[in-house]
Amino acid sequence: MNGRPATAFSRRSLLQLAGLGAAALALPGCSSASPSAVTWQAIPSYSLQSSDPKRAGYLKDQLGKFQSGRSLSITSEVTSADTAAAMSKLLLQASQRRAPDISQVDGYVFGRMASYAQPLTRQMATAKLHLDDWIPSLRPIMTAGGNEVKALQFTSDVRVLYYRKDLVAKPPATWDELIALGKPLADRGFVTLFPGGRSEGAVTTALWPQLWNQGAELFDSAGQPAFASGSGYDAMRASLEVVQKLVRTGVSPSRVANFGAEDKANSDVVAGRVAMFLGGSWQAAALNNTLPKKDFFTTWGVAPIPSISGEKHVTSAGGWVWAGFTDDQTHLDFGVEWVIKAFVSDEGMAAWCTAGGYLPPRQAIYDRPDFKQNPFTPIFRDHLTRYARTRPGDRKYLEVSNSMQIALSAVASGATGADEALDQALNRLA
Amino acid sequence: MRANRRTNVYYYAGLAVLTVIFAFPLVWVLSLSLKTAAETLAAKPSLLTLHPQWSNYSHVLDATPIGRYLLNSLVLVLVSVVLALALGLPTAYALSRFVFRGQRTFSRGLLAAQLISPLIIIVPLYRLFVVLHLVNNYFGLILVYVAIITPFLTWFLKSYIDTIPVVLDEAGMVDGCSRFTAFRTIVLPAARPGIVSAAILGGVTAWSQFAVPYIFLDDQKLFPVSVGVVNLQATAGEITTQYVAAGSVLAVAPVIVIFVVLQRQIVGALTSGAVKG
Amino acid sequence: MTTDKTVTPQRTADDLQALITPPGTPGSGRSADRQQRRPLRESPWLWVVPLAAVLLLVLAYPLVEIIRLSFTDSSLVSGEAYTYGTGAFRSIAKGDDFRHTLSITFLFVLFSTVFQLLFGLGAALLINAAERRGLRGTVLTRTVVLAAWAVPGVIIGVIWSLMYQENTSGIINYSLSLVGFSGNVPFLSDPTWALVSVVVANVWRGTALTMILCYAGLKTIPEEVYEASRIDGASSVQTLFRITIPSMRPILLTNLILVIVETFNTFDMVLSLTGGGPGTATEVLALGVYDQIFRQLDVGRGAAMAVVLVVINLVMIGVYLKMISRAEKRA
Repeated sequence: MNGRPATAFSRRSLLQLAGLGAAALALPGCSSASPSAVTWQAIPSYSLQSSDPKRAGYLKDQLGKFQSGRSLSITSEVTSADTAAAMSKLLLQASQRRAPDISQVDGYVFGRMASYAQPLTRQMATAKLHLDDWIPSLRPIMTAGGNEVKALQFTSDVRVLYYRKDLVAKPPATWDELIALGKPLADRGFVTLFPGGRSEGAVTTALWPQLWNQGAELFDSAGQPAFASGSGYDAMRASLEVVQKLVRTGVSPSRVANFGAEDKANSDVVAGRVAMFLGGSWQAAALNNTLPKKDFFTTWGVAPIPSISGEKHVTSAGGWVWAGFTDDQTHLDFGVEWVIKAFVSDEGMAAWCTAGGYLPPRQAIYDRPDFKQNPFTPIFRDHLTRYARTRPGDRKYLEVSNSMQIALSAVASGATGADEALDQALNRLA
Repeated sequence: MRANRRTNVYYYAGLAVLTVIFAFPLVWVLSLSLKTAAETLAAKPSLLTLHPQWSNYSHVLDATPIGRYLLNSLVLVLVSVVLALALGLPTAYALSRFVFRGQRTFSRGLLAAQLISPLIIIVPLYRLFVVLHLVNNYFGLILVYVAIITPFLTWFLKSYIDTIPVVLDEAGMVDGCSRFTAFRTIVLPAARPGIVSAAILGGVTAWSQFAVPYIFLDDQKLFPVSVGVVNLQATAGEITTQYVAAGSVLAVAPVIVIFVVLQRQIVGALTSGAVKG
Repeated sequence: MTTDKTVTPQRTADDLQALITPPGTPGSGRSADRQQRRPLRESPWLWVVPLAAVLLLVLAYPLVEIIRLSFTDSSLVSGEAYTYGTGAFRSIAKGDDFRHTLSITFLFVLFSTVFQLLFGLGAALLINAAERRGLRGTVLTRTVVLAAWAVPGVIIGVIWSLMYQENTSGIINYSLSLVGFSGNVPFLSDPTWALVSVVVANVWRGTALTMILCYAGLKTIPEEVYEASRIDGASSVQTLFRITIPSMRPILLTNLILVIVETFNTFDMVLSLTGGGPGTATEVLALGVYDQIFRQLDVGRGAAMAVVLVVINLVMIGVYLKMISRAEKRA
């Protein structure tokens, strides 16, 4: 069948392939960052790769200006879009001293890597920034419980209740009100949505505010889950029961059990199938851009997340920080200078928070004319100062969060009742 | 004759159903990739769109170096497969032709090695590779790929070499060539179909790796396409279904083209790789 | 004992042989070869050592390390202190969660394997028969099925999650609504549906490999065998069950073990399709390992689950080898 000499195959093709292989191995060697480059890592939507041309344009422009005439340069790195996985990888890298020089870190997880981060006090002084400028509830994240600032928070957000003004005359203050209001609307095809899937965003939006507004806590002073028994248990169960009621009454469809990110509600909102939804403050700007008539701010309203009693509303605040992980002080200075210029300085924070629809974590920015507020910003700011709490930095937080994510998703899907889901979650944590 | 024709109709129907089942998801993604964000949300989705949004593709090409990812994947797959063959062939030959102490243990070890999911070894391996400076470069990554694909590849090759009569290489050795020369000039050419099909099976495994490159590479310029495309998934506040779809099409299309163009050779190699040479 | 020495390697070789035996390979021919072989003076280790070295470094060392870590409470953050103990194993054994994960995994593997083998074999038979009848279009079908095989698992998850959308924007729900169903089938948010959906997507991905292996097997059955069967007046169904399937037994067994092991280790597709949810409805064991290590940073517990996963895989292979050697003894 094969008329060629027997050796032809082995010799020639193997040699060719080996040559190709050698050439290929040489490739990555050339592309690795040069020593004069500072690596700067952001999540995709905060990077040059953002699918929003406004953001990508701003960063490209700023980076070009910043780098011109400097001896160092910035190498842009982008994490995976799965930010939870990205944070795990960053932790793994940081603990092996391999984290990018300057990295974007989700505020709630920063505590775990703070010991690997460089103090930024000196750079802050150079840039004339003071910790006191930041909103008080955010400061503990930036110092990670120590005396020195180790991270610069540059965006913040709160979770709120959005409602369609033509369907909901007065936003509900309690869950019972919401269900009474939402039931007939749901029958007409306008559902109430909340993230009920397995994600950090889901528990932060749908569970923690409920737990907190009942006066309960996630952890006791010894760092153990505080909802294993007693009033803490009752509060957590009541929070899950709210979710259970929402789904059982049909106010919310059980498919919310698969809504990981808050943004999963966006497509239904745009399609006009939603009466109310729990979501993050950043969604307002994005939705306004996506709606065909760009009328989100006029047709929708914002209210505090309902509570069980109708009083003592609590919401969760989040946000992103920049942290420096390189020992090389020149590189650190350069990288921090870059992120301060583009994201933290007066002009930078005003511009970035305008572009992304985020809430500035520094009080002074709200009064600047170049911070273009959207019509909801004053309300969000009010929620941020009046109702907001940040997630605790306990070592067990991620386990507790993951376990309760499973419980939330199980209850939302109707697979288990609130009691059973909570008991299983506690079993996992025991 | 008529009965025969009627049976043919059943066969055609069967083939059609099979083709639709397997083609549809890919066709649907192609369709989504040409829609606007609003169209992807339409309550009555249609397969065809009146105004194909080619700009979705230019966005993906602008925002992500997807061509680079594809090239990276190609390089990783080719080099890993070549190295896996370089390591696996001699081993397969030895397992087939020698009788030696420890052979049983070694064979069982190879078998067990096939079972180890890359996921399981990632964390210890990452820590080891940091010490060895093998993180964030292709030497380290390819080493892992080779370890993942070689056990199966070796098994496959061993059973293929078993079908080549020993008399052949012995005749060669009687003629005065060394065992290695006999291996190279007699066994390798005779095992060619087996080698090609082992390479294809190993190549597909290497191509679809996700967790290993995700963890072992920091520099996104080095990402293979399986990791790169996931970054297009919806991120804060943006509806990106159409981009994810366009990215998936770009990621998958080249391989499908390769499969279509070479399908005769691939199927030929896989089938002849399974029969006695 | 002395007989054992000579027999053992022989039987091992046949075990190995059987695991991936190409169909139609005359195993007996090999034993004859072996007996004729002259004593070997060269050492085989030179041929084996390079591969062995790579595998020891990249697979064996991390595996030992994972076993060690499974007896700790260490975290992904390597600087954090940890202690030794059996806490990880005790905590996964406690409660219904792990048992639930195991049963989900079992269902996932069972249904995936059964349907993948059925579809793969069916597709191979169909394409092969159509080819023998000289029908056109077989190349197209073959290529399309193969294409599904070339799509990385993560992307498959993304593609299917787009199709499974739980309102009429999702193409599957829309198609169902056209034929009178509600159009709101909770493909990914109802626990039972979610598992079904994950299995369907997994079967879609895996069928190609089974098909191509079966198809290769079919090509090795000599035409004369069919001819003889036809002359005997056997119907095509009889031919299928008396001739075709029996002669493909080795390749089906190989397929079986390959598919089972691969399915046990699947997590990337499930991760991008459901993330294990709703609740833990689709949390297969491999995804559980990922979850523990990369979402909760709990390396100790993740390692313990990984050890369980490896043990299950080893047991599967052990059972398989037993089956092979028993079949051989009977023969």
